[in-house]
Amino acid sequence: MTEQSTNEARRTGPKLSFILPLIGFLILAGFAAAALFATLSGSRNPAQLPSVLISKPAPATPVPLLDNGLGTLDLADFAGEPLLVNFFASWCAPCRAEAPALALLAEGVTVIGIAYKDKPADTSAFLTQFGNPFSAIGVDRDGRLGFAWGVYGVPESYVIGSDGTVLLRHAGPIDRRVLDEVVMPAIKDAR
Amino acid sequence: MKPVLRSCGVMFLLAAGIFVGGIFGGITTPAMAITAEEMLDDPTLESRARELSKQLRCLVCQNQSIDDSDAELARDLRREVRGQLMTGATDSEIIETLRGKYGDYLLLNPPISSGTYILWLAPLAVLIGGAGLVLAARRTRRTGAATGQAQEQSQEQSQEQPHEAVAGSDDQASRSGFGAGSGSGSGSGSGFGFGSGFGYIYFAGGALVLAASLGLYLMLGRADLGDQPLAQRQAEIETAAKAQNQQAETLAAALARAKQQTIDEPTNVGNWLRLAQAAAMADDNQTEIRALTTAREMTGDDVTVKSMLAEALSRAAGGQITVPARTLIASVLASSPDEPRALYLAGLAAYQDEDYARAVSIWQRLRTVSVDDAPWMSLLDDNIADAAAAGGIDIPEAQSRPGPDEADIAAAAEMSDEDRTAMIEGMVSGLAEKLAENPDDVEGWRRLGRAYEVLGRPEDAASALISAANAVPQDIDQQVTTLQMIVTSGLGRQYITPASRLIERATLLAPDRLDLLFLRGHFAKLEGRTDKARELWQRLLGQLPSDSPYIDDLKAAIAAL
Amino acid sequence: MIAELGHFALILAFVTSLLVSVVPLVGVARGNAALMQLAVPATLVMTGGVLIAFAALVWAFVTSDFSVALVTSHSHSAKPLIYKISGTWGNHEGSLLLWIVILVSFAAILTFSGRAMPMVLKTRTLAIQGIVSAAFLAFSLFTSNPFARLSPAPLDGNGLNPVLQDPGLALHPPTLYIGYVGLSMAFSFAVAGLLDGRIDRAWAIYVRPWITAAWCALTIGIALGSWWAYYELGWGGWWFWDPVENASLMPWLATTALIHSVSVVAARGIFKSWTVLLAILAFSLSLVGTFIVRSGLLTSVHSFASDPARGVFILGILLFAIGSPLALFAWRGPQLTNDGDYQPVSREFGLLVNNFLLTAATIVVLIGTFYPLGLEMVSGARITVGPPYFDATFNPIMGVLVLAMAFGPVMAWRRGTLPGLRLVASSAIVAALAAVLAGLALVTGISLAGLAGIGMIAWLGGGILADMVHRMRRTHHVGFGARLGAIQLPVWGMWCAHLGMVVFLLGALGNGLFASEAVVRAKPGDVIDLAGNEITFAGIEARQGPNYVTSTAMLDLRRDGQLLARLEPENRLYTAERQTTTEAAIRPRLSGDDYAVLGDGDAQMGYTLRLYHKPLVSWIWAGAGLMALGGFLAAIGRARRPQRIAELDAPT
Repeated sequence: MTEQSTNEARRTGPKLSFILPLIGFLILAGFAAAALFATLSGSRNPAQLPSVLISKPAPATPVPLLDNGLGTLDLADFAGEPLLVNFFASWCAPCRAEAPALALLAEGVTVIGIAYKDKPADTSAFLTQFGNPFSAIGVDRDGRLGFAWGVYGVPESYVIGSDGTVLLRHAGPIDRRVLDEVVMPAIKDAR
Repeated sequence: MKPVLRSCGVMFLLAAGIFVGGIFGGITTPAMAITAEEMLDDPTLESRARELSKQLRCLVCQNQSIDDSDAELARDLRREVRGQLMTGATDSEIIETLRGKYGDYLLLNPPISSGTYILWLAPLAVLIGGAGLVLAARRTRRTGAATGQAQEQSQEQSQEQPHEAVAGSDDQASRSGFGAGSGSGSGSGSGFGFGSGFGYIYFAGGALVLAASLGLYLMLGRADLGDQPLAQRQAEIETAAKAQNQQAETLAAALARAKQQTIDEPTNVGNWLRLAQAAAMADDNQTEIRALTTAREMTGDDVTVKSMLAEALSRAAGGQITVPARTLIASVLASSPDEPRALYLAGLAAYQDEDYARAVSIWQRLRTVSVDDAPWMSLLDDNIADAAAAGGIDIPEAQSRPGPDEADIAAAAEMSDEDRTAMIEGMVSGLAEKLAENPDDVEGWRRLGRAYEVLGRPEDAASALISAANAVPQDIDQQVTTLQMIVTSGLGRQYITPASRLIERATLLAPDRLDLLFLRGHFAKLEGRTDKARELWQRLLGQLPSDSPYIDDLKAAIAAL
Repeated sequence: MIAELGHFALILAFVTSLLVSVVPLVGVARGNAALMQLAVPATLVMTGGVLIAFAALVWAFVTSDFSVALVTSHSHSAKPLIYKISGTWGNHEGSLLLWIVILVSFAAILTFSGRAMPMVLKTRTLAIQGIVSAAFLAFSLFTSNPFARLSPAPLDGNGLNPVLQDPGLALHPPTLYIGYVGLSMAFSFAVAGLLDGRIDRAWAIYVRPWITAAWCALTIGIALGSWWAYYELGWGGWWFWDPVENASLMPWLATTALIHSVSVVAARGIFKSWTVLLAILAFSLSLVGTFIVRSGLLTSVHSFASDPARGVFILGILLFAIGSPLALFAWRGPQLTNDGDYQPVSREFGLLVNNFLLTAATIVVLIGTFYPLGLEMVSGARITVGPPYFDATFNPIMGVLVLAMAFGPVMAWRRGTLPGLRLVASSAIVAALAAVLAGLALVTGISLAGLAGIGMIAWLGGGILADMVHRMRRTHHVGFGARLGAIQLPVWGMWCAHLGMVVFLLGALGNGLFASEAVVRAKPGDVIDLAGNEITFAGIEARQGPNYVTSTAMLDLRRDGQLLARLEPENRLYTAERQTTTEAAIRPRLSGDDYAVLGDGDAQMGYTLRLYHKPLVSWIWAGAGLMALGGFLAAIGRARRPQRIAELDAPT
């Protein structure tokens, strides 16, 4: 059509600006695809927040024990072996669903329970109905202990190493798959 | 037992789904954002608190600050912020503390850290870089324009002519062709030739589309289902509501009656079991559990009662096989590995654990130990199919069982007698050969026994059933069934010896079983030990409920000794 | 039968859309008129099929046909009729079908309205529109079939979220979708132009009405959503920088740039590559919005039931539908030639600045919305990018734009005329200074940001008024009325839209700076003072609604002892769904709203009451309405008097 040379001169901009949108889009799409596939394969769960406590010593747990109002829960009593600390409540539906997995875990690992914002009578009834896998149970009536641990919902479970360091946090119920793929490997590493 | 199992099956579907509420199923009654009590008295501190709250994200909400959110966690965080303000912390200290507990995700204002440099620099980069690109474009244009100015003007002029007419609905424009462009003649623009070519294309296109659509529809659609607008279903709704009400009333009445019976006769185990059943139908879990616990004590941990209790506990937990229920089930299966209810529940527990392979294997085992016409068979088959599908397991098609099955027998009923006999005998001999090689196949022996009964060969049937009983010496039911068969076919005398062995076994397993007592008495009588027979039958008489229809017959039989 | 008929119609539409996508383009490549002509009837058949399908779905909802799975999961026999109807699109499958309805309807409209268009351009545009429709129809039929059936049919449904049983929310999706999907036409035109290898001024004139219509609808749709959030969610906020809100803002920003840019192409034949890129971007951003809402990738109050598997399908559509045109742009874009040049001080330059700033703002919002996802993929860290970020980055860019808006209209094409500039500049400066001084004098403790905002608004307002004066002076008529009449409708439209921006900013600023609130725990009989009013808490009452029960607070609003209004905020319990909602009580006035919310409590402790006074808040949506009206006026003006290209070059 028109002369090539003037076309060159009258081109509407450097080549870069024409490719930039495509490049930008591909980057964005790449992230979206990566996120989507990670979610589908289960390696990414948007509801799981990384805990700030990882690799730090587990916070203290100065809460009363469920069984008698006199004693205080102290994780140091269980030092030297890996632990699972599980925040639960009687009003929490998914906590019921994770009871069998916790019972299975409790056969080989010490599991400590923290009753989060729960009345002791309700907690006891819950444990009677759904089983009690815990070696010790602390009572966190107002949630302050949860706050110290950065708990943002129940159920939440923490794997603590033999030296008292927080190794893993799992938010949500522990089903068999999580037990096999996430919790047990962490505990094995901790031994 | 059937409705109970069916409700269990329905329950497992409910239990298999995790609550949609997600992890945080426990937020019941939300407090409404900020309340008056939360507010601090000091207005400066309070306004600082509000400002800080607006900077912090509610972690369990979708994109809200803790100032706006109704969630309990938001309230806790608001309280924490105010608490820290009261101790005199500065704004940045408070934010750092909270960030130290919950991470960067808590902050609505992303912190400037190694991960967020790009985020904060990006706007500047966009503005500066964009400006640079635009200026570069301008410069290119300028240099081009300088040299090409003359051409540009002539271009404009030559282009203005056809542009003039463009905006009106004027066919001229389309013919002077912009975009008429692929080089071919402009006639392709607006000059249409409505020739035969058109009709052909439309017809072909239309037919192709219709055919493809029909094909696709047949694959995807449900042409067999008609509409069901609500207005046309009033009758159905009313009957359903009525039926539901009636059923509720009947169940409630039955429950009341059963309760009354346990009050009238608290020592009768049967009353308690019936109460449990009525409570199960009426969805009264607590009563059911209490009744079964009582029955368990009364029968000294009878396995059937224990498994019923496990089922009741699971139902009370919304269908989930709870840990206490699993303990019960395990204890039942330890002593009676073929107890059907316990097996079913164990399979259900495995299914809920997502251990589908184990669920399938447990349920298949239940299948083999059940009789073909057990009431739970179709439900069991559905469950096995579900578990197999969920776990991606292939189950072979129901193995073609050797020997005549129901279909065969039904077919046989239509043949002539001789043909039928011949057919069955053929099958039977095949089965008998197999069993000779594999004498432990209980199921096979049972089928063989049934087949012989059909063929009118009771002795062979009795032998087969005795072999069946010998194959499972722990199975009391099988022992009893065999003994009953021997008695009803009048072969007691002939088979006294093998029968006595069965009796010994059965007595060891369940000495107080009522039907066993009767059979023992019967065989004792056949052996001539009338005293023993009388003693056994008297014992039986004492244990029968007062309204049992057998009392009179039994008294007559005792008298006849 | 009707449900299955709808299903079949949808399938028919899908197959036809495949036809529309392929055959006409083959016809263009071969110069075969017959194949090209197939586009029109095939498009009409496709549209008819979709409309029948949609009607069938609405019918199923209206008659409460619970054999249709969608009706069972999202409707209930006790729902009021209007919400049964709006329930059709209150879910993923139905709203997707609505999207498709608008997509094909616009294509159908083009078959009628585009008679003057060159054959090839029209054919290509219809074909591209057909491709997009085919992609969405496939998505609907194969992953989100609205006509899935249940047998046996349950006797009642599972109800609709009571939060969605609301008139504002019934209208918000359709309007918004008209905006999103209207952009598909601009997209199709742009791709058709790129395929052709050239973009003309005539192209711009054909596509402009579509862009204007989409922009108006998008403006109204976003405003409706914001207004709904304000009165429904109970704390008086109107914009949250929620990812889905951002997903509607980004296309709006791009379309605003587009609507200006396309006028430049029409008038001067330049900015072609900007315009084509913006047209592609605007629709692409709509598609991205769809992706966000339906894939569960970003958490948001707006998300439908998230399903990553569907997300994969949509991602595929996005890669194809956005990637290909952008690749085409990278390849063919440089071939678009500019027909002229302009001076630095000229309307073209002003519009260049406009394009640039709006595009920059769009990109900033895009980065802010997707950054958390990107960071998580790269390093696993989870962060939040919330309102503080956008306030710090987006607002300044828009501020500069507002300042520039005062000047753009007054400058002439090719070179700015100084008298006009001088008038506007001086008016703007004077107005700004006056406002700032007034602010300092009248309002105690006003912040720097507040002063800057007031000054900026006055600057723009003064500039617009100056432009109006300037143009009226320059008409050759005598007498005020005659001068007014001489101004063409599109110019009125522009003023209306720009003034709408001023009104919007006044509302946003007024509400942001001068709102007052009182949060108290009150017992019946208590009086609360707020913003010069006395509010008496008269008591609590239990009431019954059609499908809910409420506890309603009665508040008497008085000023100087005179009863002005009774506010009745409620807490509702929807019996079927067992969900509670809060209904705020609002007394809307031009000067400001009084807003009351009832919290929890009981007779002994008292009840939590949250009372707000929000000055000028309704100006936010009035401003948006004015903007949309401006666009509407401009469109009508152009339709009534189609301009000749030659005229556009004349100095105004």
